[in-house]
Amino acid sequence: MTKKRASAAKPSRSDARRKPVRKRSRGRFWPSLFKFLFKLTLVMSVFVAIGMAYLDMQVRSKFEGKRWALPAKVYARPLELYPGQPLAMNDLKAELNSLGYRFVRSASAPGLAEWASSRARVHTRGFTFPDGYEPSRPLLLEFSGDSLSRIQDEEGRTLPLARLEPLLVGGIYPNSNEDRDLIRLQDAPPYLAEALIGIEDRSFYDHHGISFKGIARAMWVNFQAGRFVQGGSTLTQQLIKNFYLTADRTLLRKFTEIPMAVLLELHYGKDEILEAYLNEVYLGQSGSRAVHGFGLASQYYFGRPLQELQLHQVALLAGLVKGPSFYDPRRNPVRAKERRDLVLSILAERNVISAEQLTQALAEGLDVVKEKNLHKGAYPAYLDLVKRQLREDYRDEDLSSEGLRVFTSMDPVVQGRAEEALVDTMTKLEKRYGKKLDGLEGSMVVTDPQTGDALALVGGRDTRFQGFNRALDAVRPIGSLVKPAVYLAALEQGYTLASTLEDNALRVKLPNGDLWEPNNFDKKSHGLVPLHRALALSYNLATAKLGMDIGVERVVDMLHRLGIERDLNAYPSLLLGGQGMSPFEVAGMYQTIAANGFQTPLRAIRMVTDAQGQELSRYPFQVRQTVPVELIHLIQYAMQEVAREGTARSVYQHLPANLNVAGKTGTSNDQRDSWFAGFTGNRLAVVWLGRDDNSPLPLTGSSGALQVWTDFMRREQPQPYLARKPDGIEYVWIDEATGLRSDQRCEGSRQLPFLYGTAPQQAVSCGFNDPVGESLEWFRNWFR
Amino acid sequence: MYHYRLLSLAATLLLAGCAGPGIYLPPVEDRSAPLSRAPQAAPVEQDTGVRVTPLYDEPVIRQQRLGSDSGFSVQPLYPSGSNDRASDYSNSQQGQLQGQLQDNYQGGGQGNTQYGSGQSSFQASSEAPVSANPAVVALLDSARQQQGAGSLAAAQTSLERAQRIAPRDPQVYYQLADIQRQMQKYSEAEQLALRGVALAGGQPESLRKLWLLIASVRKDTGNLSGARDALEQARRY
Repeated sequence: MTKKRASAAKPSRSDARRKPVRKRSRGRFWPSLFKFLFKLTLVMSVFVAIGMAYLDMQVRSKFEGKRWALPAKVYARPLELYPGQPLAMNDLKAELNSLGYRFVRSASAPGLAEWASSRARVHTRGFTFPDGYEPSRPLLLEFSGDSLSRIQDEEGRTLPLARLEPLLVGGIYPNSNEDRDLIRLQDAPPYLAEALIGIEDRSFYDHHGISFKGIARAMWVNFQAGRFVQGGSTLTQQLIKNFYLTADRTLLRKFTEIPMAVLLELHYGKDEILEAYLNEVYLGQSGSRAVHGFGLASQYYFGRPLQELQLHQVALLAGLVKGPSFYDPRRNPVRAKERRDLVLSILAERNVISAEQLTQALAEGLDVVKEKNLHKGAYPAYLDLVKRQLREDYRDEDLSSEGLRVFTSMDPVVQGRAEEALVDTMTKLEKRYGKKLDGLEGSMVVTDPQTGDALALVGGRDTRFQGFNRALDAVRPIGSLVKPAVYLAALEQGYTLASTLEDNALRVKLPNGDLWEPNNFDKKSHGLVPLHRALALSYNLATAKLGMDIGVERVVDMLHRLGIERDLNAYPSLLLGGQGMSPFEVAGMYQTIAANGFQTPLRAIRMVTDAQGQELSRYPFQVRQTVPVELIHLIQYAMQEVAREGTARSVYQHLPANLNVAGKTGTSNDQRDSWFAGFTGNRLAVVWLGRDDNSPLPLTGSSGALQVWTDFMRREQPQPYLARKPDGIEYVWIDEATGLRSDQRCEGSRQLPFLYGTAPQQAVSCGFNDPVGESLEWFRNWFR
Repeated sequence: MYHYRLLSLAATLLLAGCAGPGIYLPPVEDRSAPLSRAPQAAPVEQDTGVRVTPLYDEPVIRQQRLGSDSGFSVQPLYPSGSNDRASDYSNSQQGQLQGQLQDNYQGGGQGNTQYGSGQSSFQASSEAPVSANPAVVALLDSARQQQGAGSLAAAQTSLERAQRIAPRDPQVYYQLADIQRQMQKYSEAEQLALRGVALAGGQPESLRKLWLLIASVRKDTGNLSGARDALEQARRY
């Protein structure tokens, strides 16, 4: 709208300038024409004046108001550093690499790091966190084994705590998809302004918006070169072009551009204009996201802040202005290098840099980081979760234009391991199963069960794919993952871990007349089994019978108490996991079990601040106890048994025996879905494998998802799970076969936890004089 | 005298088992009732994990039965003293304890041999009493100062940082709850304190403080009988 009116004003001005030239004529006709023309000129001048005033207003209002729509910035968790922290040097190195630190011999400036065998010196960049400023300072970090043992500052004082700046993992962009990091002129590295002026507009500091000298020189240079190498427009004109006008190259636009450039120069200083230029200019394209300004371009091409760029990198960026796609250093490295070298030679020619600097910079490679190593935009699934949570509290236009800062719990190290585990294991599985696994997909959710932080989210095999987010949106039958809820409900109704269940064929007539006839995975029935074994070995018949006995409503109630919010129908099929849920929902449910019955909403966002760092909203740690600690202790015991002796026992082939994994495998009907949900002391992970078209797989929960889970935990080296015995629990030795009290020294007895007063009152004795026989084998057969 | 030796031997064994360079903390069962008078048996975060022992991994001292036909002799619990094997029974308690100590020791040893090298970091973090971690101490201190200065939100942020470093430290939950109480979010405060209680097993001082806080929160909300219950709990420690 505004642009149309601006161009409408323009022809009048050009007329006005030309007409008076022709006025010198004689005759009777001429004076009247002269008069007419004079009046016309007057009218036109008024129009021109109005037009100019309008342009002036436009120039000023845009320049002085909020110049740019700033996308919200989404940060990962900052890496905390403290003595005693489990942190392998390699993990720190990975973190520093993603933050774009350079590894040098002497870390003398922010963004540099020194590396030795058991110590590192890191000169941090500093960061203004919402809760305080973390200064930029050199830190000497000492390691012993895989943990950080000491942090010292420059003066050798021991520090209890420090944090690195958080990694920027994404943004929320406006419809124009423009992204930028604002910089101030004083933040620009040395030579940037000189390089830019040298290559684009040599007389920038002398002209008043347009430069006839510049145009003439450009023509001369182009003529000499025999092709178009230099444009004649000044930086001011370029800024006007990008800032106020549309991209179409019309003569009309050219004529608006010139007066606007002059007006801009009239109102504002050169430095102000240059600063705006540095932030406005288009410098590249990352997918649908347009990279604007040197601040963001520095991150996009070099993965580090603009201030830390070296001469050759600065020259490359300055050279890009003319054609970010034509000179794209990733796609057209040769052209980009030529252009960069041209910028460098101009700098030398104008005596900005010495000959020595020139030779040195010319010898440098392009140094551009691979696009796939960039972290911004690398975690679409997690960002999707963040956006969904943000949209509950913020309007879209605020998210994409106010420059909000969003601090999340995302852990890029954990995320990386989760992605590797999922992708690598799926590749391995495909090798083993061949074509039968075509189209296999998967997703994963990782949390910290103690804090409820959502640490990582993988939405599919192509981890950078922006589309279908299986971790949130693939709602699939959870199979036996539901069983802990069934057993918890049963324990609450008075069952104990030692209760004997019947694992026999079962038929239930449904209200609609159908017959529900569940079966065990091995199609056998196992007779009488202790309750804890039925869970550990995932017996369907025993579970169905148990669930029917206590009532499906109780299981539904338990699922809600564990954190499932969706509506659940109390159908018998729910008992065996016919209900569909997303991996994220399952994680919420297992989170409650891992946190001793305290429901903790999974937290992706910790805090949102405005562009200046003022807190707008926070999402504090919250808990609500929904299941008694004692019952959870019992179910945790049984879930640890799943990993020790049950369907997930393969975990200990790869993980330390004292990790005390608690979890549950899940396989849906016809093996369409392969699940595992489980936790250790500080990591909870839910893995789903399946196909988007819901067709059967040759995988069970143990042969599929569990493999991914195990591989992830192997990489993650989490802390062991330590179930603390609550006051209301006693441990009693129980004879496995009878479910009665026994003695530690008797074969086939194990210690089981009981709520006080619920342990069996009777005991069997093995006697101490019985001769040793072949009873061991006999006894083993008892269970098989 | 002999008892003291036995006790200190047991304590040494326990500590030796846990002090091994294994990365993963050996799961130690907290069945320490008979040991409760032992001098400072374990530091705070010397956690007392309960561990599922595979049935066939247990050393079998007595076979249960001979053959399939022998049947079981179901007996009432704790037979009267006249039983021949009474002495065996009375010994069993002690045997159990020793067995556990041995278990713990083996747990530590296992960690050593299988996963010893390169993973010792976990030990450092979990073996040191977490509240003694200078980072946590510093954060708890600054939280206290912030709370004192009335900046509750800042204090909350500091405490959440502390929680991420020491998620099992009851003190963190105590202070988090106290801030919620000051913000007059009573139900959140009570829940956080209860979470602290769930983590504070075996730490009477923390338990007492947490229950007192719960009592005061409940009183503030007018739940007097609940407050009385909480006071009752606090008195136990």
